[in-house]
Amino acid sequence: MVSINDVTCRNHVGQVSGGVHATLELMPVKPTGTEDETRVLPGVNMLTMLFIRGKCTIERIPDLFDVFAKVLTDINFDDSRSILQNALKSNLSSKKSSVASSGHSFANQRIRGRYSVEGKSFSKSTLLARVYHISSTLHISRNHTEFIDEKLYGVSSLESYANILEAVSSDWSKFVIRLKNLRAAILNGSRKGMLLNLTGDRKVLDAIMEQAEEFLANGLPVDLGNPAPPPPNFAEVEHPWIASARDDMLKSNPVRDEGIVVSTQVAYVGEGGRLYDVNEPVKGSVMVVSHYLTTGK
Amino acid sequence: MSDEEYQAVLDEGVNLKKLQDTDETPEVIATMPALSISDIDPVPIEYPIHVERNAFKSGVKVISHEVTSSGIAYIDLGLDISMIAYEDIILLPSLITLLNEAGTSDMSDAEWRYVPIT
Repeated sequence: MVSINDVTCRNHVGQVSGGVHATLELMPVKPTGTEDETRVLPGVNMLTMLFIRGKCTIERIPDLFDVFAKVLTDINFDDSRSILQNALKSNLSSKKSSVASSGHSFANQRIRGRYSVEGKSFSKSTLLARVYHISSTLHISRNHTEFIDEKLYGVSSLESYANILEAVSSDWSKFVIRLKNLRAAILNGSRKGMLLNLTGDRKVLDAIMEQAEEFLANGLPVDLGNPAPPPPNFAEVEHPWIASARDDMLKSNPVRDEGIVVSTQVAYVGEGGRLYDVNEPVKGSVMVVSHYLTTGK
Repeated sequence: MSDEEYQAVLDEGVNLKKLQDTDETPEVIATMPALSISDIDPVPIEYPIHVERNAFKSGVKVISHEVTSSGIAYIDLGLDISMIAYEDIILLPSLITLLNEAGTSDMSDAEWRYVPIT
């Protein structure tokens, strides 16, 4: 048995690399033909990707690609119930304490998540705390996926993650199948939707490209039969999540007055609304006003 | 500590406080390095970017940035997930958690992420 507290232990992934991490990236993209960057975008164009990021020394590049492949194809979900339970519990408790200490940020996110599924939006929210501290912010969002962010990370996510924890605890075998299906769908995708982003010295880049050919041509994604068609150019077409997300937004986070009961010493009060409509130009002076309202100077 | 020594410490403290409260002379202030607006380049740093849309005819888009990295390779692999049904996106953070924390088919999470140096 290997004890993780043992000082002689070293992270296996860390032995061949400077760390490997998976992240979820939702990135609004500028629609094709949009020249004027100062206008509010329609908020239907975005890229959604699973990223595996890693770094290593030049001689470890083949090992790093092996780790990438293992992370994507070989992670053992079946025996990882307690890992997910602990992560969900820890996430829930830290989110609850964040809501108590930074309720204004959650109120702001919730309000922003009422007007736009994703994309550039402008909303003003005023926050009044019971300590008679009054502050005001003008939120300018450029790279947020508004409602989707609220759904995945905002105050609404407290309930969904509690439900997921319940599902994990009550029927793991069923939950694991859903996770495996997600992974299979992503891996069975098309290379046309894949992206390899490299940074380094010239000799590093050359060394990566030498190793990358085998990985890109024969490694991932794997052919599981009946692969998904290549993704369209999302700068030209609406992302497939947008329509469902819009329905979900209108249903679960409509524009109306609401109160959310949380256990805090202060009351966080937010007020907000849309300042600019889609395609309206926004001047640089808005940044000055925003800064003034946020900092008071 | 003698009375004289005690008094010397007190005096030193008083003098230090006085020194800290006194404004510097303009000559001294003039020796402080300072930037003016014209010292700041209005053009942001542009990192080189090279895009190869169909690397090795595999269909994969390879984006590279040549920078000084002291021999360190930074590699990000991105996979499209737009085919995931909207109803399932709430599960994506759980998937990411397991990719980052669980073990592999032949190594426990401890072995995969922590193995002894042999």
